[in-house]
Amino acid sequence: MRRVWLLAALAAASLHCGREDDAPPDPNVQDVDLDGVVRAQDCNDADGSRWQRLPGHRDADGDGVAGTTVTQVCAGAALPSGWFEAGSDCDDADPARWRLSQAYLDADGDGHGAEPAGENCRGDALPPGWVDAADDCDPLNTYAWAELPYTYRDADHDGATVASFGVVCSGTALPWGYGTEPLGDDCDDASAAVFARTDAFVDADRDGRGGAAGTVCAGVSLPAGWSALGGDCDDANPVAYELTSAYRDADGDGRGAELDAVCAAGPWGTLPAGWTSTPGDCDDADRYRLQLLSYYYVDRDGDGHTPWEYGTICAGTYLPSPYLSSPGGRGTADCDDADAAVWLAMSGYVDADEDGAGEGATVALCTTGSLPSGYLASAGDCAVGDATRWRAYAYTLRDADGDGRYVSESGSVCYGLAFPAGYAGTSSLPPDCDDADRDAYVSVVGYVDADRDEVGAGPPETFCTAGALPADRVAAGTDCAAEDASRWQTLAYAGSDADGDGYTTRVGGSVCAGTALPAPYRATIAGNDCEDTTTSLWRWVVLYPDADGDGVGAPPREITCLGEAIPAGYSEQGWDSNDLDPGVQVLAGEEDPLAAIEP
Amino acid sequence: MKRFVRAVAAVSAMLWSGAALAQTAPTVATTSFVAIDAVTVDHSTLAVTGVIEGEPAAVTREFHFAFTNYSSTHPYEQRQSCERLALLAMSKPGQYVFKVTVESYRWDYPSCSLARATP
Repeated sequence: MRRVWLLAALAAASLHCGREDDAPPDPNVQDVDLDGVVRAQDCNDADGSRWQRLPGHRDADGDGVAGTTVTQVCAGAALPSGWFEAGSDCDDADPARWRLSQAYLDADGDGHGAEPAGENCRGDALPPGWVDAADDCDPLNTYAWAELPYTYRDADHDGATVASFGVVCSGTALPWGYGTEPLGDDCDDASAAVFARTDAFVDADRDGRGGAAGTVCAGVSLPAGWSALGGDCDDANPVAYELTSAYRDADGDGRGAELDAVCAAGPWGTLPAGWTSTPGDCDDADRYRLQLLSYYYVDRDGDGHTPWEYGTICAGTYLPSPYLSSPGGRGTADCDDADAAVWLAMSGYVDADEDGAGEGATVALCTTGSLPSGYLASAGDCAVGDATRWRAYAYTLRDADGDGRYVSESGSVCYGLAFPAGYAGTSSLPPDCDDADRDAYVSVVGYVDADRDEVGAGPPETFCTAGALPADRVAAGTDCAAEDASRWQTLAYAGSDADGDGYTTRVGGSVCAGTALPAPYRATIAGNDCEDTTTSLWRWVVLYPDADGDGVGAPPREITCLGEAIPAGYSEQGWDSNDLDPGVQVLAGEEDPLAAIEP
Repeated sequence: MKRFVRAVAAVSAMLWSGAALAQTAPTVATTSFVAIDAVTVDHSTLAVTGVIEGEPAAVTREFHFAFTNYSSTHPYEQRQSCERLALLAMSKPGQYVFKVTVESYRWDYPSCSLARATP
């Protein structure tokens, strides 16, 4: 190859040099590539390895087998590489396919083909989707290509098989629904829902409870019309399947009287007509009376007054008239429940004399709410048959003589419109001292006044008069001299002045007197008369002997009863320090006592 | 005389200092000694023995001094004042009249005075 390129280069250089020298080279002579074939005949004078045209088949896909198309190829002594004298490649664009053969289409890709056969461009191996054998029993099923024998079928795919022999187009194993080992014993291989024979009860009414026992092909659950529960007491009635205790309800009022067994939908289900779970029908022949109701009040006369009465009655939902559970709006008092006109029990008193006050014993009456005419609520007519008097007055004071003064007397007096005179409960006046004499009503105390000095004496006497004492009596009874008209009172005195000198002795006491104290008594004392028998002596005087006659005496003192004058040789002064010397009264050195407070 | 007047004035000022507090007219009991024989004191009592004016014999009278609301003067000072006046009267028999006045509503606060028997 390297040599070819060298020759080509030399030829080119030769051409270039010649072109400069003379005319163009003659193709019939020129052999540029020096392959021994002139250019005019050389199909490629630039390539010394190729000079002639040969028919050839090109192996375009390089699989070693050329295609069927013949092409004139510029070649040397032989066809160049990639070209062949003969060609049979049925697909020269695919190096994997070069020959034609019969093959079978594997449409489902399971590696097995099926009729009809077809020509196929292939290499060593068939292209995908084609196989050499037509052994696929199910060309369109990837998972089935070979027929395998089976001895059991599960056509309904419920997991239970039935004995069945045959072959089935399969894959590596029998398909689902086929097997060589039994699985149960499918009683109905056409339905996946059922697969086992099961003991059950025929449930004709489809109420979940069966009646007659039997066997049914069933699955997980029993098929319709069958039930695992038996005992349906009425398999023709879907709402009745169990015997239940209930009460016969003949009148259809929802309450029964007689307990019995009935085929029904369980103890809590709906009972058939004519039965009820509610007992207590007190009258099963009357649908409007079904229960005993308690009543506490009755209003038989319909007047709205409902007396208390307890009882029970067979009734409907509510108590029938006239029975009530609560009192009527007019209360519970009805003394006559057979008469709507009267209702209130009252007691009254006959007022025969029509004076407004009842009389006699209490009379029980059934009234319209008030006492009828001729009867009164209160009694107390103190004068039966007398219309002018009917009420009693309890008095504690009595004024029989009509003088306005009362005496204590208790009692009762019957009267009418006017208050009875002479009777009272209180009085602000003193009591009557004589209630038989209207001129005597005041008790006064008097004393005998024998000397007529208007002050009596003796024991007190009480007189019942109009207020005045009898003429010979006085109110005061302190006359200290009952027979002496000049003296009637006791006066106190503090002293006595018997000698009339104006000075009294200190003698206290009292004396029966008139308007004033008699002599010598005095109400107040005056001095201290030391001698009350003579007017010249009336006082006690402290005297001191005055020996030197200087007017100042010296102790010892003397207390003497004197009059005005001081006897000679005495003095009321007693502080003479030297009573023997009229010139000396105060000794030398004696201090004046007042000097102590001299400023 | 002048000295006497001053003495009486001074004592009266002490004795009557509480007079302004009087609310009602008092019942006054005055004891006038014309001769005093003895004076006895303790802390709150002044006992005077002597002749009361107009009486025929000597007697002893006790006067009690105590605290009172009617005077700011201490009762002992009051008693001492009375005591001095009594001693003065006792020192000059017949020259003075020693008076002790006790009002009914302050009986425990006597007032004392000294006056010349013959002015």
